[in-house]
Amino acid sequence: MIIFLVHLGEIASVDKPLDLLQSRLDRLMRTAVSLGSLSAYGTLFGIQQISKNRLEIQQGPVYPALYRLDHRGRITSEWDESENNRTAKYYRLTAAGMRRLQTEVEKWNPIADVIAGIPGTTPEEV
Amino acid sequence: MTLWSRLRSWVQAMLRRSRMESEMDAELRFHIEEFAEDLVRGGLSRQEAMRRARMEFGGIERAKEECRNERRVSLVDSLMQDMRFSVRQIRRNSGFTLAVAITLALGMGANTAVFSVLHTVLLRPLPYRDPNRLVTVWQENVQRQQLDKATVADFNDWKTRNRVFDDLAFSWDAAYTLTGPGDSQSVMGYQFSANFFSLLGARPLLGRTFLPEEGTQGRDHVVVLSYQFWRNRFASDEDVIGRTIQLDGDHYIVIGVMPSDFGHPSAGTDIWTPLPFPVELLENRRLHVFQVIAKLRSGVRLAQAQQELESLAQENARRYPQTNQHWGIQLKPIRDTYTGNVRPALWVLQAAVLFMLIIACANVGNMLLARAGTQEREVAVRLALGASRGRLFRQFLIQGLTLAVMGTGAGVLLAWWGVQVLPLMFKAQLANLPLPARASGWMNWPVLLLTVAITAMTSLIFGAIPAFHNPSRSSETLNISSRATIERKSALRIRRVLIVGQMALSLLLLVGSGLLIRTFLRLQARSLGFETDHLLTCVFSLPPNRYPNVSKTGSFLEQVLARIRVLPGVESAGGINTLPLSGMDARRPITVPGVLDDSGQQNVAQFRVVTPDYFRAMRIPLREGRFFDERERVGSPPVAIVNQKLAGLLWPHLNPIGQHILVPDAAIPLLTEIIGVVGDVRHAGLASEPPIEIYRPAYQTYWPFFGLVIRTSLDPERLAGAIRQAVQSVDKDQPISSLRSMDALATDSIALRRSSMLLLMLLAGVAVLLASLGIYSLISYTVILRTHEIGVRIALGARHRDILKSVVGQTAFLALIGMAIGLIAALNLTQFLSSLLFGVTATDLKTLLLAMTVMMAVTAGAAYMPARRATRVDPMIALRYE
Repeated sequence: MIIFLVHLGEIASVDKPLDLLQSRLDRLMRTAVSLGSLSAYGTLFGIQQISKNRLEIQQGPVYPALYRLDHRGRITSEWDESENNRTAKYYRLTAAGMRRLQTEVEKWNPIADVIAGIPGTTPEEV
Repeated sequence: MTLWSRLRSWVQAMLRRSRMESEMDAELRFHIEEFAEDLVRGGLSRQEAMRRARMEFGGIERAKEECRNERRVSLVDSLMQDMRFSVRQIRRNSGFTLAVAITLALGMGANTAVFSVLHTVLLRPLPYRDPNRLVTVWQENVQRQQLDKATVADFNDWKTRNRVFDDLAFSWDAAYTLTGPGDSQSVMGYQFSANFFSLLGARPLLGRTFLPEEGTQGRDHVVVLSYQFWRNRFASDEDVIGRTIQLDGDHYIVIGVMPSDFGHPSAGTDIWTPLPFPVELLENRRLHVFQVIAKLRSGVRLAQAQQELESLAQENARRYPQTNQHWGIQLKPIRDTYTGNVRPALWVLQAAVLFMLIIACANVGNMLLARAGTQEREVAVRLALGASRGRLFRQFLIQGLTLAVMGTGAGVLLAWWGVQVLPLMFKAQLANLPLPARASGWMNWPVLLLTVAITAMTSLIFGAIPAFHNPSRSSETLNISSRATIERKSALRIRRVLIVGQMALSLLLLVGSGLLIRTFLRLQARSLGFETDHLLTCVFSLPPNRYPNVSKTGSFLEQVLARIRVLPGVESAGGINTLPLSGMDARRPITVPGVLDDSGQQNVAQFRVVTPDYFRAMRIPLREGRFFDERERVGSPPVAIVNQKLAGLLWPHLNPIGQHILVPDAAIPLLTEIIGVVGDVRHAGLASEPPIEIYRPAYQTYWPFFGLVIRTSLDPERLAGAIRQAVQSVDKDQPISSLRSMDALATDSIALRRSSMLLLMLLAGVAVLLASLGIYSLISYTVILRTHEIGVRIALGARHRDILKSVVGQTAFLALIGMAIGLIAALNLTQFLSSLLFGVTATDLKTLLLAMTVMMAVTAGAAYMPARRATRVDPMIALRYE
């Protein structure tokens, strides 16, 4: 698993499990945000929906992750009215973030296909 | 561009810290409320929903902190926190911090200042080519232990027969009166042989120096100006080259101006003129007239050259026993000409401030180690609560840094002040050396940097020590319930070594300053042989072309003194050729007719030419016979007055009055009758022995320069203007110079010893204070450490004496070891002071004992205060923590 993630180009070092977690969270966030302008709370829902409720992520760490992406210029934020007339901060993917997501998706999809295929592979197929 | 965007976001975060904080608050509040809203929709009560929402979110503050971290705001934040923390610490321990900062500043500032001055005076390269090969050559009277200038004949022998010098050059002084253009003025001149400048390798700022042919009669009317003289008299006019000036009425062409750092043989020299070889003195081995410099051949050492010339001197002593017996030769590095006797004083001072720097650093180390002990528990607690080691380290480093900034800042100020004050304290001794005008010219920047670095490192290293807390000891540290102080064996060991070192060095400084104080007291107890108060002095030279003989000089003196005597406030006034304490000197050989000197060597007495009222004005007592009076005129029988010392030497069992001696007048021995005996005078200052002296009347003997002494009932300095007018009313072209009170001259003559004494006293005082602080803090520290134990002991019936003994015992032992080391060091090192000492030996027992007593008393005082606290420990309170 570690080796695969290195290929994804998001991490500098394999022996830092925290970075691994962070990079995975970052990717999820970006994917969620790419679906449209969302509040932080909204991204949480987004992630849950993308993963069809299979992923349970903690709420606290969402914020540092968003700030991190913002700091790196992958997403941008603005204050807007929410559905029930309250001001909320909305996040949107920037062009740079979009490019980054695309390259990762291109890299990720073949690998994901392979990984998805592994459990079902029978000895005869090899 | 991501780097840029990161930077921008960081800058924004930094600039809009409060906005970011409030946005973060709003965002999180929105999150939780939204979440709660959803939960309410799911059927929960609003209150319960809010509780659940907060719970599920997790640590809000932690999330915020991580967000800040992502923006890299926290680094700056925590730095600010550490700063604020260390400022708070400093405010809380203001006494401690002030003590450390002042100690650092003293050590650093004093060192920088002293070394800067030492470097400028003793180490700075001279503005010559190969300065290390340049030497001055002197003849030395071995019997009198006195250096003298060279005779022309001996110089000629050296020049033709040595194999160690590239070349030699000669010079003598020449006082001139500048008579035009502009107001007349006396100038300090020096006549150089034509090769003098080129031998030094000194280059002019403007124009040129002497050509070889300008060292011949008739072509020698050229002059080189000093920078000072050019600036003051000619307003730095570059067109001065080629102009004609009048010296003693003769015309000289200005050919060059020397740079500001050139001043040979002294910084006060105004002009240089060529000195043709005085052929008429070629065979003369009696008149010591030449100041000689020489350049050693490349590869020849000073000692080698000294040896070779010594053998030349011995040969001459055999060939010319009449004149050269007992005369040796001394070579000296040329720098000695400028620095003279200030050299040992500066080195001693440098050693003393270096010792003080060591003591200061030891003390700061000591204090910071003690504080580290009290902070250890704090460190352990904070580590246990999850503080990161790096953060702790940074915080202690910042504490150290704050100290370093305060200490070095004050130190730099002190150094700046020092390089301005120190040269003033040694002003009279530094008069020969061209010196920087501004403090920045004195300051030695590399050394300033070095001392700043040392000081900063000391405070940083010792400041950071608590952060090196050993985590394996944490539980132990936390378990100890004593007053937040943990004994660290290694720290305590370092502190003990520091105490021993401090005591040793303090005692050494104390002994040194004690020796100088005793020297000074001895000197003060002596008498100069005349009264210095209410006495104004000045000097002038009478140009030979206008005052060619005794009737001219005599009548000038007589008229001037007559006008001065009637000025209000003047009690009496007299003139003398060589003013005491002025550094001027004139000697003549004397013989008693019919008495053969068994040593084959004539007595050489100080030769004074005085007006009748000189003795009254100076209050030099008459012992026998009479003073000079109106009878002594040109043509009247030659008479003289001798001092007691000479009378005792020549006529130990006879009445000197009416005796006759032979003393040269204008090179011809003159039979002279003794008419009086006067008291001895310490002509060269308090530390000198009175020379043998013979006085001749000024109205009977020619002399080309004079000093005046004017006794007043008012402040002598206030008469200066009136004196100048009186002289100018007799001869409007006659300038006078060096109008100073005799008190000022007397102060100058002991300034070297007085300044050295004051500075060393100050340093020793600071050292002793620091050492006693060290002792005080070490004992207070042990007392705090052992409060519990002491409480138990007292509860068990220990007496005060036992407690005192157990608390002070070890420190007292350390102090004694330190003093023993200091004593040994003092016995070996104070010999370097000997050239500054007078009337005491470097190993003076009284001084040693006194210094030890002072040291012990101060130590005992410093130890007693905290020790007494130990005896007052209340066992009830000490044991309650159990």
